[in-house]
Amino acid sequence: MKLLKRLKPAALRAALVLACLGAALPARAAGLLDEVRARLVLAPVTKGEFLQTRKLAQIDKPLVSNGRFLVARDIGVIWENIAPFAQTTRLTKNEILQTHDQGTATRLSADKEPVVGVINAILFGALSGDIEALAQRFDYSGKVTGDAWRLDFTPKDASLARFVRGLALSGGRGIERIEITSAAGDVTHIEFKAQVQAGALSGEDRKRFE
Amino acid sequence: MNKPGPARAHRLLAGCWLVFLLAAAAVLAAGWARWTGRIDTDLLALMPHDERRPVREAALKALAARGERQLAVLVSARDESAARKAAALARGALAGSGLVERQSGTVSPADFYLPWRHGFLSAADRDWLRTATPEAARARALRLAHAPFAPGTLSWQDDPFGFFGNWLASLAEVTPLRLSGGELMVEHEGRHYAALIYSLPHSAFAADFQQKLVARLDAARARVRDADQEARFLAVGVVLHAAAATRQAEDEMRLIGMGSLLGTFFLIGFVFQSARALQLIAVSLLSGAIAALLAAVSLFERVHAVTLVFGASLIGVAVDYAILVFAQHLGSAEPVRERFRRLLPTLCMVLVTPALAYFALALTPFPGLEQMAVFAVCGIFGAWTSVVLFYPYLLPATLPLPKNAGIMARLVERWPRWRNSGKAWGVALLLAAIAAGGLARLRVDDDIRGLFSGDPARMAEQRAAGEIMRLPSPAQMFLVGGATPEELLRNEEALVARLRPLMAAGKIGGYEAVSRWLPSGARQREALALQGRLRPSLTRIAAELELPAAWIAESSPEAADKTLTPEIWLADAASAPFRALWLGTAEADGTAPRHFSMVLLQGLADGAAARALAELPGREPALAGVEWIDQTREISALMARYRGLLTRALLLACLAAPLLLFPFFRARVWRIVAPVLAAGGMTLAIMGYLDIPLQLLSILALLLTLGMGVDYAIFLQARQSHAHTLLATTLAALLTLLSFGLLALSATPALRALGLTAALGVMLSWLLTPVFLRKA
Repeated sequence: MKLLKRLKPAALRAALVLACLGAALPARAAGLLDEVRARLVLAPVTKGEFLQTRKLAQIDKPLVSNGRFLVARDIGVIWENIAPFAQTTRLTKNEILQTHDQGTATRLSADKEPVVGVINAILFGALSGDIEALAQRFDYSGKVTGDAWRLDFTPKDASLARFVRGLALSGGRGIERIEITSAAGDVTHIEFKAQVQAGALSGEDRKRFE
Repeated sequence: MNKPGPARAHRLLAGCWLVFLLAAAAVLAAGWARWTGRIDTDLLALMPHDERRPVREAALKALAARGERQLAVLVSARDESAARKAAALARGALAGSGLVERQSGTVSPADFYLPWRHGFLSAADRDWLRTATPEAARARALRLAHAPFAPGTLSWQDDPFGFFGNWLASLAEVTPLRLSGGELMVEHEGRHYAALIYSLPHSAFAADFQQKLVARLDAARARVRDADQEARFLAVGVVLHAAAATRQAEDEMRLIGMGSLLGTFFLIGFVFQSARALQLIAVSLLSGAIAALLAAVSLFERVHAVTLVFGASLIGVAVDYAILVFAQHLGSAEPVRERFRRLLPTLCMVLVTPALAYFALALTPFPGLEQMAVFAVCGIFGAWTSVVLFYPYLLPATLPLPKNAGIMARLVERWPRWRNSGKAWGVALLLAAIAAGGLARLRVDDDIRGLFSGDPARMAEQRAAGEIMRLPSPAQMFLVGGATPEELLRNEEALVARLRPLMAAGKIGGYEAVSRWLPSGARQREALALQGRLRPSLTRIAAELELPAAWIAESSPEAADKTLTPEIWLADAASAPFRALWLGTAEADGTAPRHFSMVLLQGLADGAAARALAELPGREPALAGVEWIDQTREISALMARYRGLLTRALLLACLAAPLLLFPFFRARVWRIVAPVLAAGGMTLAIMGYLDIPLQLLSILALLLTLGMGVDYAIFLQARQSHAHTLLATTLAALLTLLSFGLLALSATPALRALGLTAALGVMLSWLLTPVFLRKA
């Protein structure tokens, strides 16, 4: 408790500054989200492939990985890394379940691991396009050009800023790119391809969430 | 004056007493603001202290000091954003008052621990490292390198396996509060709460500060509720208990004090129909109050509010002496001094019995009861002394015989009398059988929590808030010792390893221990050695990701690396919130100084959990230097022991009373003892039927009853068929009954038990005494 208490004044200042900024520009900020929301078509279920390029600070060689994803808006996300290693990450409301190497599983519960809840909320918001949820934790700016849009998020409070420096979402009818900049300056690019939308989970996919 | 010597001595004594009373009143008035400002409402102050265990005392004191200046407000509403809005309202309502201070500090724990990071491993990572193959290590680092988020705040290359990040994350386990959106949030049973954590600029026991703070909190609560009907506002802090205790004590003092005074003046005025009598009563009571307060203020550093509430109930006892004197003056033509001389032996006898009974309170090791005993004995003595010394001068030559006296005389004649007949024995046996049924149901309860608990609604609020925020238990802890700080930390770690399974089983919610933030040197060196083995894996990863060779050296610690020491930790601001757990050194007599710390426990599931913890240090393999401290249980055990001791004292008094009275009353002794013993037995039986448990204070109340009951009987037997005496005892019993009855309304269960038992006992003694009067 004390640990977090000490972080508060900084967070308070940040929140205060943001509150003032927010108060000054309410119409424009709300308008931006509405404009993006008007272009973004979110189906209950989205499946597709991803290509991730991660550029670590001070390391020249980019880390490239790829795989498949499945987003069920009300249930969770399945993130299936295929190369260079096999790992399946399942995000649901209260936990992160990671399965890798011949079925070794790590289960992180939001009750026990506080960070899990935060990471979960951000990833879930970003992957499912729940920009309102992100706007609760992040300050945002962006632009809309024709059908294309881009939103840049910066954390509202210091505790979150310790994990992530910034988050950017861009796309058109769907989310096409996510860019995550960690607090340490590592940049992760995720590109979504071959996206298919559906009205409901198939029986097989439903099982993967059980 | 036929005997000028004694008369002069009497006058001299009366003069001295008057001077003393005036001086005492002046002293009290001069220091009024000072001592009333120090009236204690801290219930811990009533608890015994064990001077032979200074470390334990220091630990309990440190624990109390830690909680004393903290206040937390939890605000929840329909959903998270509504809770945030309500919290902002509450914060606004509390800000700027100067009554609370937001907790501050900007130190980042990660920055402080960074230089020693290789010495820290979470329990899970330590286990993993013991068995990890180089391939598993490589895979783990690679996965983390690809993960967009790491649990830690360092870049991947500074923490390639995520050990430091995991360790920092494990620190957060100590609290469920999470900083999010500028607010400390906690989720509990589906509700979102925002926590506002404050420190207090003044002691929780400063009376006017408490009341201002509570008023401000009530205003904040009202504002939050007005804005959002569904909002929930919970406040938790020692200060709230203290404030409630202060207000309650003030209310009860007023109720008992005013009630007893009004009752006294009304009855005295009604019966004696004399303004003079009222003035005389006032003189006696005022003397008693002055003597009692002076004794309490000068003997004790702080007067406790509970003492004052209890003290208010003494009015009914102290007034007895004046009533006895008045009764003897009714319609009498004998000169005042003559009558007084005749009355003096009886008056002395009546002083001794209740004083002795009250004195028994001081025989217990409870500072609170000791204070009550001093207060009672001095108060009674003060009232009595004024009666004995002043009344001969102040009494009018005669008091008119009231009309009511005749009624009394007829009443005592018609009162059922004991006869040695079959019918009488039948009734007695029936009553005895009914009493036996109650006695069989009588239950014993020495739990201290049942004695000093406050308002149930407030207790529930505090418990709920404590559960949501997982606040540590305020009266239970492990005390850990070691010859060196290192040994202490190792002992703590051994204890924590045994607490973990209890946590997993849900018996406890969590723990606070210094070793969580400051692992022992041994544990840090073990961590360094375990991570040193990862060098081959690091070499492979460096090759794969084209990392410089210097990175391998930076990332693989040497066993000889420096470790975080207690000196460094204690000196840095990063340890400030937990420093209270570190108790420093203490010397037990003759041995080398030892180092001590506390391990606090959160969310104790139930009594069974506490028992499991109590057995932990002794169970094999035994934990070195670990002692379980359960203040609640220790005090309850002490209460039980003294209840046993005082029960024996009570039985002894019951046996001793007839023996002591025998020389005066001979064969009539049974007529004095029988009603009192019967009253005591019936009191216990009624308590059994009403399911009021027997405890230390009820035994003390029975001792008081015995003293007073014997007094009534002595009076009636000594001057039987004297309607005036019956009038006096009736008045005395009624007023005592009134005072104790009012005390039985107290919200402090300890005082309630005392008041209720004494009221029952006094009433039954008074009803039964005339039954055993010899037929005129």
